[in-house]
Amino acid sequence: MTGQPAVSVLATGNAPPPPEAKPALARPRGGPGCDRLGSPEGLQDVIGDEDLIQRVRAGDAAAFDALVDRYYGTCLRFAWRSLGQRDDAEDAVQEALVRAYRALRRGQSPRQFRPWLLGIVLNRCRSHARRSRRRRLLLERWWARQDPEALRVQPADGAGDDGDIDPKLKAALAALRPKLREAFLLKHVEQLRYEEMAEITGASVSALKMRVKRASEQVLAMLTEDGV
Amino acid sequence: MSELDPRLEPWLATLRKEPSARPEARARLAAALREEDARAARRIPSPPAALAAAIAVVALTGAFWLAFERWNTPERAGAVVELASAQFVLHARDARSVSVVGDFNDWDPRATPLTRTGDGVWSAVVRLRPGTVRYAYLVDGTEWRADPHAVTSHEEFGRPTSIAYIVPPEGP
Amino acid sequence: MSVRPIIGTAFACAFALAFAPRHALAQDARLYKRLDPQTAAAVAALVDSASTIGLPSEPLVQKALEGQSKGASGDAIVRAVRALIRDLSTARDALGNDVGVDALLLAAAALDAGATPTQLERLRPHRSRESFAGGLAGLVYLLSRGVPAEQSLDLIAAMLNARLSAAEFASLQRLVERDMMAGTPPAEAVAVRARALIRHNRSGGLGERVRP
Repeated sequence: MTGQPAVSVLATGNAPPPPEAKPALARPRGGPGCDRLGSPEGLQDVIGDEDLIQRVRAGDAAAFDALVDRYYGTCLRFAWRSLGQRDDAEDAVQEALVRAYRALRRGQSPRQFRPWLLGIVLNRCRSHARRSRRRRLLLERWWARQDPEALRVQPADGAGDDGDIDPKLKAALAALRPKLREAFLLKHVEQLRYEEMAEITGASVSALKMRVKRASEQVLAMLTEDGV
Repeated sequence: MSELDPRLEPWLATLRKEPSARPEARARLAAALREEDARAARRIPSPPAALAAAIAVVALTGAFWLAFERWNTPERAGAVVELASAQFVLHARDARSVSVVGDFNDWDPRATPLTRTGDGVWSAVVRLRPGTVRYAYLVDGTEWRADPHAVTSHEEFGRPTSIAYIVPPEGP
Repeated sequence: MSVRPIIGTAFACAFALAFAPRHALAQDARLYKRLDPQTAAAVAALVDSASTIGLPSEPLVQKALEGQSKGASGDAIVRAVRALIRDLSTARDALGNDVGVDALLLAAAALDAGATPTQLERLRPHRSRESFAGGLAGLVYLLSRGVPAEQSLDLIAAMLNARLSAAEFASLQRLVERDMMAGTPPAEAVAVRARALIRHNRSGGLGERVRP
């Protein structure tokens, strides 16, 4: 129930059995001196996703660390552009990576790691968006003019954060309907193929093409409004 | 493939930049993954332990039957529970019929009709077991309405549902 | 990983015996009477698997009946039951295995209203209180009226600490609603009424019993 990524389409049904245990990598996660997720030396450039996945399935925690190093930025980028807030994005990415880890440990073997992982991030983002949308509507309605003394300070929006984008661009993205924004980001930022997008969103290729087209038109219209 | 308007390119270049991770976020992730490892370790006992556990479970099932059966009974079906009175009220001036439909009557629209008490007010008093109640009003057999006085209301199956908490009657 | 099937089968047998279908039969009857056979079977299967992990069945059955009553499709009903299982499970993870059905349902509603599991965990220490479910109802109420989650939790935790009874949580809602209808902003109404209840309780008002 919980813990399974929503999409198993990209995982091969007939995954090969886990390979014989390869020697564990030098530093186990959480060992002494390990206070951040670091990449075991030399792993990053030499071993492909496939091999890392097999190692994770065989129980090698550090191999997943290497995958995280490789893809955290991608996940955060998609989630942040999707949700608009860094804090929410970090939460969504964390949930997604834990689920991905669980799925791999349970034997899933995605053909292509990156689209599969983005699919999980996408689902977590949708879940977050549902929760926070309701909350924000209520907040706006009732708390517009409250005495700041009576309230705890609301967390900052994250605007001006390092890595955050131009406010105009941000507004243009935020104005898109969620499904259009998703399609736009997957196609033009994450640069997935339409077939991959279809697998992870559940929509047809033609529907996705239409969404990307519409999204691009709308974004462009908003960005060139002032004749920029 | 849809053609990309070249005017979007500079904006896309911004969007494509990968943001850097914040150390505290990475630390939280590391902790969450460690927790996942710990959870996984608990789930998979060693083979001899597993067999022992399996045998123990099967052997103990008979002994636990009564306890589980009692726990698994449809909640509070027994006569031990003291019922509370709950009054359902709805203002519906133009309605011809109103009923309250919810968990306590298996969502049967005909089970609990409200009576018109005059001036567009419909009400019914129902004896309910204390606890969480999910319900909605059904007006003229077709229109579902939430209860404005409920703890909360939201959409369920495209129609409103309200949640109330019936307080246990005060004991001595 | 060959250990798993052995344990799995053993547990399946154990639970099949422990949770034998005596009551499941009664619940199944309602499902099969009201739903089409396919949907009824799907829901019954979900209810069974949920009960094997210790989640209550009745709310799940009621969810299906609600869907039927409101004219939902079989798919929508199955989706809703699944979602409820997920929410109840999350609520239980946050609050602990020993909370009652009412508390679980309200916790699930709180999650739906915007609380996170981590925030819910703050109330975990109070789960033995008799008014725990009442406190959760108060939490759901505050969240649904737009009080920020952290604030809501602060208030409810304080009220639980002050050993307010379920009736007093209910009166909070009544009084706040009344104040709001008279024009008081919700922040003020909530803060004032909650503080008053806590103060009143400290000076010897009606308290609640803690379950042994």
